[in-house]
Amino acid sequence: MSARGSARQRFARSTLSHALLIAMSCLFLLPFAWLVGTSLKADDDVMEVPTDLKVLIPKGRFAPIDGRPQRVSVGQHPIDYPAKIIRWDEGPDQGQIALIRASEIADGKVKKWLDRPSGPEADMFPVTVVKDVLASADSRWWRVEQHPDALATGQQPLWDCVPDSNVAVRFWPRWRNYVDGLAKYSFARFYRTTTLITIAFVFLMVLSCSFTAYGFGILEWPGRNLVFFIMLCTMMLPGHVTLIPVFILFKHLGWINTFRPLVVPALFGSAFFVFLLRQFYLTIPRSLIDAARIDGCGELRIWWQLILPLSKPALMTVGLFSFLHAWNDFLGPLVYLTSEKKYTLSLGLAMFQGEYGTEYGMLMAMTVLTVVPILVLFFVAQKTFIQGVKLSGMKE
Amino acid sequence: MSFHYSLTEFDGTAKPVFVGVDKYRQLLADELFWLSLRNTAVYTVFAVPLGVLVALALALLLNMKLRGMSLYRAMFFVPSVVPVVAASVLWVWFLNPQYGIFNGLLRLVGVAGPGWLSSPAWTKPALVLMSLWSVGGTMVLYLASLQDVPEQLYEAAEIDGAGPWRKTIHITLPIISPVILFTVIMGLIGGFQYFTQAYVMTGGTGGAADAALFYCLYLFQKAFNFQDMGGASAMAWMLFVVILVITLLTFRVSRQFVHYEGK
Repeated sequence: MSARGSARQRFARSTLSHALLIAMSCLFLLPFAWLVGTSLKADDDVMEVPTDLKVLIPKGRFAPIDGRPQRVSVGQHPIDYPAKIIRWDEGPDQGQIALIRASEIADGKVKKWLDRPSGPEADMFPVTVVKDVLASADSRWWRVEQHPDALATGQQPLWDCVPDSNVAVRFWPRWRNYVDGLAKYSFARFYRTTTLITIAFVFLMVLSCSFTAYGFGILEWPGRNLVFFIMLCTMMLPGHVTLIPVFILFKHLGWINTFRPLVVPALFGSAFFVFLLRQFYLTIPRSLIDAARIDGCGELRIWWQLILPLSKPALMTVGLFSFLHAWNDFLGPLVYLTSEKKYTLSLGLAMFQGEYGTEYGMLMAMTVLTVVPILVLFFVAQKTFIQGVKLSGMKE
Repeated sequence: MSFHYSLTEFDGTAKPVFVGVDKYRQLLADELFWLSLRNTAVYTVFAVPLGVLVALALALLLNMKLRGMSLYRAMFFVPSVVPVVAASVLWVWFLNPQYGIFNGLLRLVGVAGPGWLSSPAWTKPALVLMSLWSVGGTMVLYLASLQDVPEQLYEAAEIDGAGPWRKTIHITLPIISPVILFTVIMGLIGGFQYFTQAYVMTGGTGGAADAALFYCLYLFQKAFNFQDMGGASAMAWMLFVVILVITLLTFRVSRQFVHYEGK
């Protein structure tokens, strides 16, 4: 009599649900695919107007030049006229290369420039013709991408004329974005800084919160509930209210542009985490604590040897969320760190977004490096994550 | 301390000079102050209800008994753990009017995408869209409370001939309404403190035509760009009052809608 229908209907329903879920997952994962795809693209590939999903795949153009396939980019105007590639030297290591109409060069002298009217005055230097270009309707003037190290000596990039039919597009991830980004943006240093700050922050936070929560959850003393209530009230104040007095305080202490404002506050705990741990401590059987006291345990030892091991799951949650806080914090570093040398990952990423906003390949590579540790953490500690969200309702 | 500063002329270095309520008076006459308040209100008014709807829809979908559900759940949750700055940088590029894939896909279906962050009218929709991407936390909360809904209520409703839609409206929603209220309030509080995304995505400027000049961004600019610690403190206290009033109002209004067990 079940109203749920036959097996076939059930199958159709579950298939439909799966299809819907998969479609929506794709939508949610699209930004990630875009992020990773872009992080492996070369600059010319990044600046391509997307027309379909294939744009997610990093690719390179390759053409046979000097007998081997070489990557080419920035194909320019069609060369459908007789032309020559010429070369001249303006000085040691200052070789220049250019394309010129065959009719614009005579007796080794340039008469008129094709594509750079205000370029260097080649007619001042002796020009040699490198090769004649076979004109065809689909030829383009391509830049030949060389290994970046080859260009380090001030050498000019090579150009060549290749017909479109010889240019093959294929999958080509540019892993160098990661290497270059780490070097150029000094992201390796940001990484170290952020890791150190985060470790110190988490360590101090877990220790101080559990210590304080012990005072509120296990010990009994007059006025305890009142103090606890006052502490909870501090949670109501938006962070921006305390931002300025705290800033002034740290300024008076001379802590601006040091890591101390980012780490030392952890020593004073967080009202929310203390609350979380206290609630957990209340579930620990009193008889256990009383037994320890009878055995002559001091309060410190009870805290260290009994409560801490027992409250491991709650401590994990506190640790995880303070890790996330320290790793992701933006306002703190923005306010307190003034020299670029001391930037954290978040701050560095935000600053480079403004300064080098056009080098999207590298920028996205650095974004991937910022996200990956958190994603790894998420997949390792998924349960703690979900538990933490349920406990706290926090979004960050 | 903060309240004391809000009554002074103070650049952060010299001694604060007491000026009474001058700072508050200046703010009330400041066009940018009102603009930033309006921007924040508009953002919150759209982001919070839409966030609740999307999170609820996802949670209902993910509450079905299907194979591979934990994988789906992880996929919808993952965006919410992405560091805010990273997400902002990513979305600037995702929504790039010319080269971004989002407008690319829109073109594919024949829609000319807007300029998003470069257009004053589309800046806030872009930010709302981004906030919907990271509703994972709210979704998990709903999912947890959905699993607490007693099965026999559904069975009873089925016997009475209720379909899935009516079961959702008359059983599921009332039972999880306290959780929804909680997320709405957290969302409102968070919405009024919206800062990092706006700062990162506009380079701290507030964007085209100040469309992304949110309250806390203006507060930050006042304090650290214009060295007006007094004015910024006054803004902080007004924010506190605004949040307090809105939270209380929400609680009041919610009494008609929220169902508490055992009442």
